[in-house]
Amino acid sequence: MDSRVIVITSGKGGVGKTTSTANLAVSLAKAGYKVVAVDADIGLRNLDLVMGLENRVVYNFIDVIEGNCRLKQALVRDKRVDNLYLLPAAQTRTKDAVNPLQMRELCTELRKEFDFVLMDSPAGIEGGFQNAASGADEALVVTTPEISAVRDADRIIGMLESMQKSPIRLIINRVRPSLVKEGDMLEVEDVLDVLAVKLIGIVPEDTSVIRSTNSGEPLSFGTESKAREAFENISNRLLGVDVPFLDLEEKEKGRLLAGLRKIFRFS
Amino acid sequence: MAGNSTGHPRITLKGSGKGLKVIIPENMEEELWDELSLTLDQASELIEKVDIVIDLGERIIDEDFLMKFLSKCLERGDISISSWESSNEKTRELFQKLGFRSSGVEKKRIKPSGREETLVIRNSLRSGQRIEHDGDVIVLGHINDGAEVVASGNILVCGKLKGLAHGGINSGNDKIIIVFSLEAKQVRLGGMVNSYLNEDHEWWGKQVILSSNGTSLRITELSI
Repeated sequence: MDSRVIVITSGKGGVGKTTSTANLAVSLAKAGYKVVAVDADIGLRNLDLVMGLENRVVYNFIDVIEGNCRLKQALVRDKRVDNLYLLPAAQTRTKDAVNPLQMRELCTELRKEFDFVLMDSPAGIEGGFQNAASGADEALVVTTPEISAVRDADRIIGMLESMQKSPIRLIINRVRPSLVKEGDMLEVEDVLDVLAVKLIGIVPEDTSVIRSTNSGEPLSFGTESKAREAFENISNRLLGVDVPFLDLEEKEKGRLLAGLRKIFRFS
Repeated sequence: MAGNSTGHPRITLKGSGKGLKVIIPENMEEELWDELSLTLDQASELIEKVDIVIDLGERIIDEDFLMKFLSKCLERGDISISSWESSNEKTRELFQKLGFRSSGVEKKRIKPSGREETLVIRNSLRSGQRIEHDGDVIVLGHINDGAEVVASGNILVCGKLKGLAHGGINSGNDKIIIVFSLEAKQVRLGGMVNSYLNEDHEWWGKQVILSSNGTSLRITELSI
């Protein structure tokens, strides 16, 4: 298959770009594809932590671009699954250390080796984002169901459209069905109505994500959880499999019923 | 830009982050030179202490103008001009050719072109996208939160208006804005702003016409 370079971006910070990159990279590798996750957030390196590979980082991609090492030397192999690699960012430099042309060259090199290149973009619409997006064919935009995140996602989608990235698909992260039901959180439909792009996944708010991030163990290596299921569904949809969307509301209802049953059994 | 009560243009001084900005009006000819000497005299203490940025606006200048300008400044002695600003490309080219430090961007002003045409936008406008047009604008889509349409004529939005629509800029009070679903917290028409809009208003989410009654903005439901 032709290799695919996908940028994961959002505009607003803290909505789950890095978490999404890490979890999708693991899911795709588990499905048997050769995957590299690239941390394009130069100066604010995080992906290595979330993937639990920080102790094995020797070189970073600025070293590759500046010719201090070969690409292969900078790639960190994940030992927990075959075919998963990380290309870390430099922590001691800034976004100005690279330009879009160098990023495109780097992507060309990575395409030769990998089926999937996932670019973890920094927040914002400036140089860092432009660099991360420049080498990509397609884009995943991450947002949360909040008006501030949605407005920023709209801005980013406009920029991605003008950069001719296609397809541009949306991940709605940290959805809390109970809040949505009470009308305190934007509904998935509201978000889609504004952004008018194709939805690729809805990820529920889940404490397992916090645990996973802090322990450096991506969800797919851990126990069953709703967020894990959601990310695995997204990776399947990326592969062209038609997976129905999680019905979060039903699950919530089910849990409520189970809770009620529990109360009655013990009373 | 710079006009006083008697109506003739004046050189203005303005403090900025880079130093003191000396703004030279575009519509001054020979009287500029006397005015320049006068300004330099009056503000001599201030001018000697800080970096000066000369802002020439849209003015197109040649070498002769520049020579005369510099000699006027040199007469005054201790003046340090740190950079030159111009929104005119030709002027900036001259500075570049001569090796002067210059900056400035082309100002996007809506100038009457004489032949107003209707601009049709066939898609929704996303946050951060801005359309400026001399004439009427038809948007066949939404104007999302954070998007802007500024026009000298009327605006028709065949979708939701969540961002900014500013119609009738630099023109009379006869222009209108028609919106198929008004969901914006602020709308502007000519020099008027209506910024107290929210979900509780009767016409929120409805088809409306925004017009002016001479003194204020009027919002009426569109019914045919």
